[in-house]
Amino acid sequence: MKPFNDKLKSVALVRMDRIGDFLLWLSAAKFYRQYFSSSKIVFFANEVFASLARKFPYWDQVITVSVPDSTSAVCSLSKFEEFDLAINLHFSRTFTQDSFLGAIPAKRRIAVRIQGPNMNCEQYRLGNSIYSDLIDLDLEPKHELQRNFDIMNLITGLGQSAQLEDLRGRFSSSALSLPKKYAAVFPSASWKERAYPWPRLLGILKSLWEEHGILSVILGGKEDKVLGANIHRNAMEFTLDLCGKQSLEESLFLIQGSQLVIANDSMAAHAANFLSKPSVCIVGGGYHVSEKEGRFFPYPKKLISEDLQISLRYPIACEGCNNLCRYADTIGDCLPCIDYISAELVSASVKKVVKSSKSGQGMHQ
Amino acid sequence: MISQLKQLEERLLSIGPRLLKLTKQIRDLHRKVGVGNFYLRFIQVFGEQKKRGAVGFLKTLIRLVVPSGSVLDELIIKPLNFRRKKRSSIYLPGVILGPLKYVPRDGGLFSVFNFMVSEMYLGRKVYPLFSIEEIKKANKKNGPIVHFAYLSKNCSNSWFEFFEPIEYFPGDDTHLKTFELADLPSSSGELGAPEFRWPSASLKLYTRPDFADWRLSVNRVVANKIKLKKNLKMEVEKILEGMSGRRIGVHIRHPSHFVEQGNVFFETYFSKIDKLIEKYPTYSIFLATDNELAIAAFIKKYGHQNLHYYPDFIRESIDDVLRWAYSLSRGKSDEMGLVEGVGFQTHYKLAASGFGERGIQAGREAVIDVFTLIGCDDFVCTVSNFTLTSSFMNPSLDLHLVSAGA
Repeated sequence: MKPFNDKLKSVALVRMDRIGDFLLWLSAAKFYRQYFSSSKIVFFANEVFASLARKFPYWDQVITVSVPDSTSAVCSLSKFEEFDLAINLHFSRTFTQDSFLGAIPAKRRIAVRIQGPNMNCEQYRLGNSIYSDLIDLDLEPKHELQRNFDIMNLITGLGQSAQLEDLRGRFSSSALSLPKKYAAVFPSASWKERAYPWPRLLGILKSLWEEHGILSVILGGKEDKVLGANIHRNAMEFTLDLCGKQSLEESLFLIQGSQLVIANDSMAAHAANFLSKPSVCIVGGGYHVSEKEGRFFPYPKKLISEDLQISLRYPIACEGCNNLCRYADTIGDCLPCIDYISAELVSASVKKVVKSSKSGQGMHQ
Repeated sequence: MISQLKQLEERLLSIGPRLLKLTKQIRDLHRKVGVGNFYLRFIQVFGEQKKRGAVGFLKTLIRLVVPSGSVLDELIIKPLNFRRKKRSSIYLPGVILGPLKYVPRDGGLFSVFNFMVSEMYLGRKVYPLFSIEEIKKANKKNGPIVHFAYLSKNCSNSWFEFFEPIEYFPGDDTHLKTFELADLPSSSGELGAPEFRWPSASLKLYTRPDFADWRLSVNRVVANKIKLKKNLKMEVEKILEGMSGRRIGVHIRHPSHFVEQGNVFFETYFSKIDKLIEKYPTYSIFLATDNELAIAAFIKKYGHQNLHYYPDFIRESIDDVLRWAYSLSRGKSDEMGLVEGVGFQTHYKLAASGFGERGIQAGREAVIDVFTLIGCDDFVCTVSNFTLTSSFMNPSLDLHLVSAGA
């Protein structure tokens, strides 16, 4: 595929997925700016990270898109003149994204030629008809960060190798007075059943406090308030519940100031890597993981030191289901591939991370 | 062209099967007349129809015509957008992890046991308190106790008649302080995962490819906490020592359990056991049962030499089983196996006769039976709480299910 003309008048970039996906793509975003330096770039961003996106200088305008109901964003499109190019940046396309891209007035629209796991054949066929250009990617298992660079390189022809955006020092201080040593704990996940059972975290947080004097700050969105309150209620002396009380940027600031991060496969674990904070991430079996890297976790070793990230997973037989869990209707609170990760293993990993953070190993490479 | 477009849109709403083709035509027309991308909303409607069926289709359709923020939006869209979310137990507000007293529900002994394990697996610190006062208090609303017979006025906590006190950390003596335990918040296992609590979910679990992982995972949490009482352990060890070769455990329940396990005949058990015998010519069979009909059938089939069972346990006689069968010719069985409100299984009778030493004795016998089955190599079983308990107390036990549920 030939790279696009870099002298376009206007370019629309569209990302409608979650915060973690946005962070993973951020490293590639600056190269779009670099390539389309003379173009007006409008970034259509999911409302969950639109405010964060405005902090970055890679676009001229950020338009908030509510997902899945993007009606108001679609209405706002009438304000725009026809874009020269509209880019669907997602590797896993959905029909909602395709519909939205179709609604953007643009001379050319571009997306990957891959049927996402969340769309059926008819949606894929219809979705394809929206685009003027479809990018062919190799389907070898890769880390998502690498995948974002592949898409960017095919569009721009820049030939950049994958790299990690260093987000340290970007977030302003919070008014909160926190202890010097604390762990940022994100017990939730966008899909509740993908979160590690919170009762098992208590023993781990207790030993963090008793053995290392590290207080656990429980963080999460407004929808995680119940979860945060439950943890705090059972561990008042060594936890601080800030669930639903912090904005995204404040949460990132808190990650930046923490000793370590304990999280599920969520935004927080990605942010920890981008902020060079040691983390323990509990990953489900939704995606295949090779010894070197996963689709999301762990990150490739060439990008981040092993000491900074511990990804825990249970090698279940149905691994690689793309989170279309066959047990979703029968399970209670937790997906089996998360449930079977023992509290002892999580605890040992946390201890290992604390030890490595004390010795100051594993900074950005 | 506009009228043509309107015509097509009308047809689109009325003709389902040709929706796809029409949306394409509309899209092309919209492009030409520059009416934005209204067509895409129709494609979304179509997508919703495929994804969520008729309700999703209608909801999206209404969404198209009702302006956002209008009165109609408040009246129609918002209530419609309410999605039935699965209520996840441990996310309920105010969950206390413990210490808690665990008071039995009015259920079978191992049903109560599995409910308790479900809470332990969740991460709650529960200490069983099996006392008449507690169970009556907890089940006040449900009337008299009809299932849980394993209590006695002479025991302040009959758990200790069956098991050792539970310790969550070395030196934990919470369980032994019965009076202090009574003051703790109460739990009856209602927060546990469905696999432990609902026979249909247990049945699904047995066929799940991750069942072996589940068994190991639960075992890791509970096996070091639940220990058989010493005198019972000795009885179990004694019978297991006497069983040479491959140990085949079999559990045969009173036939009134057909309401849960379906119709299972002796020949079904025999054919499964015979296959195992073919594979392991040196074998011993341990039979756990609550009725003498099963013992008679097994003696006839396998003789006394290879068959082991506890001879003096409380069981239903063959005539009792016949009484149950005759009662069915006059009445109907409910989902618990009671015929016209009358229970024919041993524990119903014990509970009806008031709590006492026979109830405790029946409890001890059930525990001994289950832990003997746990000590076997193979377990020929049906859908029951015995099976579930055995599955996680001994993750290497080979389970051979002979029923697929009712």
